[in-house]
Amino acid sequence: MKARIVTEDSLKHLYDAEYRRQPATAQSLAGTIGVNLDTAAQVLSELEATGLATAKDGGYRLTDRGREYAVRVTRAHRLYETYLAETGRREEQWHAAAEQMEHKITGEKLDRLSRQLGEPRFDPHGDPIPTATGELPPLRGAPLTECPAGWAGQVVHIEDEPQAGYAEVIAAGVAFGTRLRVEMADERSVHIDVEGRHIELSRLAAGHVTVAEAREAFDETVMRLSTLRVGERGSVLGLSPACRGPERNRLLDLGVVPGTVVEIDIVSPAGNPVAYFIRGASIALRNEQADKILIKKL
Amino acid sequence: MKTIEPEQIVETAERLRWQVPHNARDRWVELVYGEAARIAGRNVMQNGESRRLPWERKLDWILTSRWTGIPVMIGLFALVLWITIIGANVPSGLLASLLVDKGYLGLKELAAAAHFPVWLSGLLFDGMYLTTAWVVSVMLPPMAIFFPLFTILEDFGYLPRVAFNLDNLFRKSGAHGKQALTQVMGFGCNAAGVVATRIIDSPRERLIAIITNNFSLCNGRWPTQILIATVFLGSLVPPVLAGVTAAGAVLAVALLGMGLTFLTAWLLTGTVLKGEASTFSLELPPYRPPRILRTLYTSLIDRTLIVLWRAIVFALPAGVAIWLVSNVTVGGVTIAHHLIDGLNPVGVLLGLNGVILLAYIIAIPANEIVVPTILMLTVLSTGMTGVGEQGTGVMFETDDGSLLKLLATGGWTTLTAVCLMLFSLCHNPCSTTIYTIWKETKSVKWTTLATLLPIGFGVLLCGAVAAVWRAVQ
Repeated sequence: MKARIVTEDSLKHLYDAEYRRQPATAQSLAGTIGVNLDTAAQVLSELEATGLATAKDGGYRLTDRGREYAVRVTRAHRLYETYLAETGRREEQWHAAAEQMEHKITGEKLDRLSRQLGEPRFDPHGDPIPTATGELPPLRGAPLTECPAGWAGQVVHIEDEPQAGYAEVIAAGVAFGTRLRVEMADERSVHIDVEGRHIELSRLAAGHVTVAEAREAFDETVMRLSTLRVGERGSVLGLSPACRGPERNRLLDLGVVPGTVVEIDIVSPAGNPVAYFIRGASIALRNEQADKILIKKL
Repeated sequence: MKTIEPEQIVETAERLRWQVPHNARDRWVELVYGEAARIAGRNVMQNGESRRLPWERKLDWILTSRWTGIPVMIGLFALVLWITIIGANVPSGLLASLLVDKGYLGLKELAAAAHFPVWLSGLLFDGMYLTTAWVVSVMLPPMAIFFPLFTILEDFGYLPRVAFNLDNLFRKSGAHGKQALTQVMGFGCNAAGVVATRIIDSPRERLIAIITNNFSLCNGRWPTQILIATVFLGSLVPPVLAGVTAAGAVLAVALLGMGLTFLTAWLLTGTVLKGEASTFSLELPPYRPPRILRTLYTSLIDRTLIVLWRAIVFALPAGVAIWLVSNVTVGGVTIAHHLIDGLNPVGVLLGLNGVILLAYIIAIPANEIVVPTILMLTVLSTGMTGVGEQGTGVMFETDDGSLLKLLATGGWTTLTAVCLMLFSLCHNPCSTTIYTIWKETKSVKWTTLATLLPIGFGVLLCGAVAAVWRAVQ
């Protein structure tokens, strides 16, 4: 079992490297799956011996059979992460749980999971989920660290490993699909405007974020419901991409939909939660929820 | 016309699939909701403004503002508890004299007249009937007062404001503001408190509320706390201060329970409940005049009677067990003696004794019968005379003075009293509550955790207190 997990993780790495047009070597494999160089080299030669990969130009490439196998494991991993996000699990838990489940869900069960989730195309990090036949869109986007001040666009991918930088990205409320504008970039950090809030990301964290041009222009007037003050009125523009699963459905059920007019009803003694007037009802929301509701002031 | 091959259509679909914006689905759902709202807005007529009336806004301000919200809440809560405790005395006394004194004696006479064998009369009336009568007379009146009062506050619209005021406190330990209500409900009865967690719609927060509800001292444990605090701690200080000392001690235990609730919630969210989904929403409904009659009816039927029925179902077999352990002898000594001797070393280590532990084991159906069982077992194990002459295996209660003497003969000290108060807060829920937890969660795992976790705390707390106490002396 252990050997199979190592094999599958290695195939996944080769597949990802192929998609990103990066060479897959014993070194890159060792770093990704957390084994020493000798073991990684041994695993690669075993893959070659079993006909799943071939050595080429100093790196390794998947054979057709290896690619088919890798597609299945990658598909399972990304579908399961989507499932976890849709059922309300926290970002930090997705990866570890999916790392386990990718080795267990196969064939029919995998297709059923995909159907239940509405045949999703991207996992919550923005990685495309290969179709059963292995179709993938072309890779797009550039690292946030390479964007000049004034550039505006949206997040198309967030790398979830290693943990440290990823945790900073999550804490900043940046998610796959988030619209942002680069305010300033220096050698230590990248300053961005996200949904009306100024955020400073370390270069380490910014390196986890891949961005691309957005179809619509950057909207300066977007603000978060949490910044609305007593007596002001706002109109809902939508929910932040960081708001997912049950949380998102609950807010939609309550009538937090584009065009809804909101204002503060009462503030609790501690200042959190705050009760908002939404479609004739007084609904108390915690500040971290109100952070994910995008409005424009009326 | 040009014909298109099916393969081409599939191919085109595959290609276009990746070109649709990634958030198309979310946007689409948002637009469906938005469109529904627009249609409703166009076709639904509304009378007047939907905004709150001036008096409602004023009331909201009083009940939720920083300076008045919390004092009003504490005051109302104290008032409800006070009405319950004072108001329950009279009907409890009536029921006790009716069921325990008159009813029990009448049944015993009947049994004698019908020439029942001693064991049958003992099993049926000393065991089953008396235990059940005791549970009913102690449990019913407080619940019949507390639950309607609680339901009236709920109906008026006040309770959601309490959840609103306290949510910040609960949020910090990973719980839901509505848990404030289920915890207060637990002061009436933990089984009812566990059922009340249905108001929490987020699975993780609901589990937390279920598992920690036992840290709210229930109506079966308040009398134990008050009795032990009055008899033992009250007698340590001058008579003038006795009442204050006892009340202070009981309050301290209740507050410790709240502290443990937050601690447990915090521990659970960081460990076993890490993976459970969590959402928050709380509607503050408009105020409305409570419908008193309906409230009385629903709180009596839905809350009081269901809980009482479950308690009775569990009390009947417990009565049998209590009677059997104190009357069946093995090797010339009753089973109770054997068990008490076996449990004593553990009990002493926890600052308690074998009698108390055995009482907690056989009185698992209801906390109400723990003290009577302790008294009965103490008399049985010390072989003293002059109290509880009704017979072995028959529960009884007595006045404060003779209680102190009786328990002192049983080897009780101030340490025993303190540890009993702590153990009364931190031990397994009664069987009615355990069964209710299983009904609500349908999970052996969470039921087991909810049952064993408080005992874990109890063992740690009592063991630590006893060790420190003995080291200091």
